[in-house]
Amino acid sequence: MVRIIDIIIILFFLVLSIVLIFKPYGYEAKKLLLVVEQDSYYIPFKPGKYNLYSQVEDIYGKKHAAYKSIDYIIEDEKVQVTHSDCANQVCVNTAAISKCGEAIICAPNKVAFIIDCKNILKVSK
Amino acid sequence: MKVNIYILTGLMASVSIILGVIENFIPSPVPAIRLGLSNIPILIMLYLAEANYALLLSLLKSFIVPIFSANIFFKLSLSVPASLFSFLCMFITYKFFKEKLSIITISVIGAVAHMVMQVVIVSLLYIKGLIYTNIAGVLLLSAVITGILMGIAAYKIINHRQIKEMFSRL
Repeated sequence: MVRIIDIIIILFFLVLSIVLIFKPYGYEAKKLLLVVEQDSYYIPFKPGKYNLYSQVEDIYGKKHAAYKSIDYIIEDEKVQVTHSDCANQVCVNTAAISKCGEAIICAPNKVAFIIDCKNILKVSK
Repeated sequence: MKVNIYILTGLMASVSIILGVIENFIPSPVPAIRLGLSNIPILIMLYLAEANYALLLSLLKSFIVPIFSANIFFKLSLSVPASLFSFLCMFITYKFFKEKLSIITISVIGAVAHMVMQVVIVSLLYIKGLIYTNIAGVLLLSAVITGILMGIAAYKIINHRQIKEMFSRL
């Protein structure tokens, strides 16, 4: 039923998935990256309750149009989406994120929260 | 008595669609991960009938299952290309490596191809920063595990005496 070649192929995929899960996603300070449609920017990673109903202010004070029906909270350096108007509710059901490379994705709304420790946007310090 | 292939394809398509809808209600530890139960009838058709009927099944499933789910157009945009790519990968592996690879590996390849295509579509059309996250690793791991489970299920069904008899009367 199962041959050596089967085991090798399955092991290859398993090892690849473990590498992708545990590979370091950067060593810089944690930043919260918000992706809305084609726009992406860092938003304040401070405790509180927030939403994306209107404009969102990034860490530099610049305002970006979001206009998405999404609520989220930041607590103990963890981000959790508490409300979304999409029917799938994948982002609401995703556990709170806190580690580098973790993300909450609401694909139908084209919104993602990513814990970035890699300085993806190449923002100068 | 001869079994009509079109009736059998229709029956298998209904099974695939029902399984696809049912698995929407099965909770998983990580949202967006699905078991891939609807892939079992496709594997059975690929192994016991002809590839064109398996392709028909795959197409029907990919168009009809999203209709019964939330966010029809979003699900359709993921389901159709992912199902077709998954079928293509399974068909090529089956055609050229049927004697060398087991049905479990072909199922894993199909599950991984399905996942890869979904990640590519989401990255291209919906979330551009997806490649910077560990989501791909989590989805790949789940695809391998569910692929193995569905492969074992398909193997058991294909080797069942009554199923074999039914397909031999085509």
